[in-house]
Amino acid sequence: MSAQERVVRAMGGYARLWVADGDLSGAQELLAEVDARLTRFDPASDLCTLNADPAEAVAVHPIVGRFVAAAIDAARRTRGLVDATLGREIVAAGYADDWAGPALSLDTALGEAPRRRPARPALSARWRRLWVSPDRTRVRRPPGVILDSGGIGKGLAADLMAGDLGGGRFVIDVLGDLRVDAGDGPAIEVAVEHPLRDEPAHAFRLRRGAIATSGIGRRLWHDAIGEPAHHLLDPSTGRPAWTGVISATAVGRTAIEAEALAKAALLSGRQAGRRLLARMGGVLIGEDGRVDIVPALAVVAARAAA
Amino acid sequence: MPNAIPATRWVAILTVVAVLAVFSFLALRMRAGDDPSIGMLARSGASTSSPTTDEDATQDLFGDDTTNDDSTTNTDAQSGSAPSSQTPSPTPTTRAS
Repeated sequence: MSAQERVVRAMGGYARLWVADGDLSGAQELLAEVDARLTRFDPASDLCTLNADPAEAVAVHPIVGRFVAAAIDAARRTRGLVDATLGREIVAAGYADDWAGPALSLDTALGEAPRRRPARPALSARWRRLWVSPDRTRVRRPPGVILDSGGIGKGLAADLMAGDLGGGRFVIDVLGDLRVDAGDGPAIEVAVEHPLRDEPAHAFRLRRGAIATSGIGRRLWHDAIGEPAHHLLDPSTGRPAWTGVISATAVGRTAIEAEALAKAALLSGRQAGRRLLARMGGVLIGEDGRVDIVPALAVVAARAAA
Repeated sequence: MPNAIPATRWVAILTVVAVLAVFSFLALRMRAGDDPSIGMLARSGASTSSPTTDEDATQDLFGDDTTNDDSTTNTDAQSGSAPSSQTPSPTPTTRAS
């Protein structure tokens, strides 16, 4: 069997799948299924059906159960900073359809944005009332809570596809959330996009693992009251977060972990964001375009010992 | 009992104590929100031992299906050359979407 590569439309963008020696059919089917079940832009999707269900406990497909489990874990590990229960707030902010929105440049948005400050968890902590059964087929949440699959859905899709491929040498890129495995070959180089420049901000070499980026540069719009808006919300206010960081990239063992770390780092601001990324490495890019590379602790320790 | 505290005063005292407790709780929660990295880093990788129910449902997340921690090797390898092998791999880019 030879190398395969596929570019697939999914989740409002394009996913790119590559395997050195294997079959991508199963992974591609998984991606389509995750997309169909978790999108909040199709009223018939599993996620929308769950969100609309007035019952507190609802039977769900295991993919939806895994998403809810991932949402609980992401919230717990970030103390509520990554909060998937903000579905109502993201719609209120103007992100109601699967479109990029009227073009609003990052420069304009940053010029009009309110005072910068780190985001904080919501005092209501609705995510604490989420529950999923061990077999992922039942979910409990307060009726009326609207779940947003967001980045966790992308990470879950990448992780499920990586699990389907098992091993070998592959690259799974779900709209910038990556799972890679170098197999027996050399490490795979992953570039980090700089939102303000044409050249990459950095490059990582990964043997096996994940990397994800969270940023505010691609989808910007004016909300109903004319304020600049994007899709990364401060849970404490339910409004777009303006922290001084425009892009955060995190390395993780799974794409879900990398996604949650990246989002939490961006929401935390530069100082706390660095601490979040320190264990496994990452990159922060500020509004001024400055690139802050955070080496992984293991690399720092190896350098010190050398 | 001339020194007995009137019931109304007890109510006032208990009200003040309750208000102080609520404010202390809220202050602690807001303080925790200042630095989510504390809990996150301290508990990274610990979920494999999560016991039952809620914890159990999340045990396959955050890296439990991977086998090593070397995913960050050469994190400072910006100057490194692209990998070359008999099976060339693409150079993917991570980006916000």
